Amino acid sequence: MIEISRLTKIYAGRRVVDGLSFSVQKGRVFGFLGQNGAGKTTVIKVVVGISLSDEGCVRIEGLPAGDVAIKEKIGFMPEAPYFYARLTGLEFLRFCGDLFRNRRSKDTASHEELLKEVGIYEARDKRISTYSKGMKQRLGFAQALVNDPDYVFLDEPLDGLDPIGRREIKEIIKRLKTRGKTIFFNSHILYDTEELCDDVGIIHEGKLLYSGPVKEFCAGRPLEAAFINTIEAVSRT
Amino acid sequence: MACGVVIFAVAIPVAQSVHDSFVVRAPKVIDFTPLSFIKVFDLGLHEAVAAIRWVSLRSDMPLVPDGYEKLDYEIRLINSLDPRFSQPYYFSTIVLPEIQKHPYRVQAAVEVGKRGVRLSEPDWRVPFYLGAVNHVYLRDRGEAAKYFDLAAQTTGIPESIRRFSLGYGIAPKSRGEMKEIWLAIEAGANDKDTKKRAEMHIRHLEIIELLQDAVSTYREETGSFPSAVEDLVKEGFIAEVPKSPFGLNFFIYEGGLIGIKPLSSG
Amino acid sequence: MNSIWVIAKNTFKEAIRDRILYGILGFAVFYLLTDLFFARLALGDVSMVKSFGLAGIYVCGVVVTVFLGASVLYKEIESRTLYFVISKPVTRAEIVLGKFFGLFAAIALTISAMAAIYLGVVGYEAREFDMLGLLAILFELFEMGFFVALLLFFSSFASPLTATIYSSILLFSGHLLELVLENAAQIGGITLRLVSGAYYILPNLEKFNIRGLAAHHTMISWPVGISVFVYAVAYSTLLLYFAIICFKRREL
Repeated sequence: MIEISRLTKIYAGRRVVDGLSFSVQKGRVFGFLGQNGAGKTTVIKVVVGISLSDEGCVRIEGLPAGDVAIKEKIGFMPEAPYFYARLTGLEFLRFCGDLFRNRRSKDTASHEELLKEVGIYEARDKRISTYSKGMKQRLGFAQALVNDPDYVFLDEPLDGLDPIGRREIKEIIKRLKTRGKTIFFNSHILYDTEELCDDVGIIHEGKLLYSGPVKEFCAGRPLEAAFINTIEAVSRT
Repeated sequence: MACGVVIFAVAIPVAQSVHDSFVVRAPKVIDFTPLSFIKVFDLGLHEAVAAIRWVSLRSDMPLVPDGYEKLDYEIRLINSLDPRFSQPYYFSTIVLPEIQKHPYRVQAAVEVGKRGVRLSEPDWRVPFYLGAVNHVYLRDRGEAAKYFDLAAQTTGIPESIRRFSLGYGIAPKSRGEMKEIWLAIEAGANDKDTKKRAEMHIRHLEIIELLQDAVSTYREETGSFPSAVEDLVKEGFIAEVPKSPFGLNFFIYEGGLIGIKPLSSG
Repeated sequence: MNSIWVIAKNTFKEAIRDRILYGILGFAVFYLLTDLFFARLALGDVSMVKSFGLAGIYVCGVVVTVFLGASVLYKEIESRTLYFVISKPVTRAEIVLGKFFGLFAAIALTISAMAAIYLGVVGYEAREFDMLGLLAILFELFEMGFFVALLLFFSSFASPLTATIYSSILLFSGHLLELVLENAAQIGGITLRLVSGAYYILPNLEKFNIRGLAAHHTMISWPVGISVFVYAVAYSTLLLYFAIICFKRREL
């Protein structure tokens, strides 16, 4: 379980994330939705231990975020990832796997398996600098799964992909869910995320507007319409 | 952790002090301003700068493009950048006296040579060429003898040149004067090494004198010159061939003159 | 420990695949080969060949170190490649140390390559194995280790350009301190005290320069060698420690 309580992050005097509290149950797919600049990436960075919170805390399975023991169990894909351009895809995956204590994450056969799953196996020995944007996105996904994590955090996983790419990534997310993984992803694109999510969190200007099952939030409307209604209601007041 | 920081922070000045009390620094030549500029910007690469400047100066030297002041200045600059660098000393010592445009050429050469003897890495050419300048241009046998002797003591000197250096002034007509010179050096020396060295030279000259006298007696009694110093012992003119303090062998030229040669060449 | 090794290996791999490195190395090879030509001008004076060659290795070593070292942390922060690494079970200290060892290994490899050519040139010219020259190169390597730590320290809070400028100033001043202290000693008083303070606190790099001694066949004594080693290790460790502290506080 991921528990976030009173999480606050301040940049240059501005409360970018303001007193956020919610939790994500194990085995669920959680869509963290908001407009650009709402604070989604800041939250995910604190949760995976890249930045520190100014107030409040984040716990995963009872351990504070950033703890090395919990990092063993999580996978993270940054938004529009850049890579060490002079490595090959397989080398990069091996590098990521070697950073874990877990034996399985160091195994080349499972790395190749993973590259097949995300569909860039053919390009495994080419330098990353030759990869297309979509291929980089897939490699970013692969490295997030290299340690067979229980918790997978994805920052804008569908952004910048072509329709076929989006479908493939969504397929993988669904497969992960059937394997019992907890998935937490950020998105500002709503029209095709509804089918993925069990739960959603809505963030607007650093404040949480809603957190809970997607069905309750939509109440029969499409997700996008429900989202726009909620945001507009807040903006008017 | 704080303890570790303190230990490492203390280690830095301590290491610096230990380093300073044991390190052998390059000898000093008087600094002047442009030199300091070079030293500021060459990142400690003084030796390489000296080598490059020297190569360009050496090719210009006989032409003296910008007057002799520039020449003296450049030589001093190079010596100062790399005081151990021997080639500028010995090369300047023998080339300077031949630069006709330079009004004080011999003095300049002697000055560079002496600086070299003081500061350079051991290189026999430095004292040897200085000795040669003293002999050829100044006709100062005392100074020449001193520097030839220094050259003979430098490791790496070729054996034939060592023999030449030690044989400086042993010809019959100069031998007396040479002995006087070494006696004066011995009397005036205030360090043990110079005294000992002078004594060795005096002994060396005395042995040659003794052998020369024995050769003369041999000639008077037998009517011919001996072919080797051993003949003098065989015929009973001397009890034994004295050992050269420099580890040299003595031999007799066809005209009866005593010569010296290295031990190794028999 | 394992993470440091993995990051070091990755940093090393990235560094030695950098085209800039081969550019500089190509220049260094060319330079060292001109040493053969310089040997003709030296009229058989091997000390000139050595001075020239050792200086070239030093300058190229500094250039390589600056190119590889100045941007190493910054580039990863900017391009967010560090996000991959930090979300793995790795501490920030391990990242800094891994970067240090990886870069240092890459620089050591570059310098070893230059050293091999240098030894070949001197071996050809003088028919000798230049042991002292090799020692001088080892000391240069100590200096480069220190310099990498310095660059990492600055790039833990400053941009590559700023880090390069700061490091270069300290590099020049580091070779000047002895000279400045000598001059200050003639002035005396408060100036001397201030300069002495700087002499002991600021990085004092002239001690890593035994090229002159090596070129003129002079051996250093044990206390000097050991104190130079201790100095390099202590100073680099301290810089890395502060680099880690700054890096831990840095918002990514």
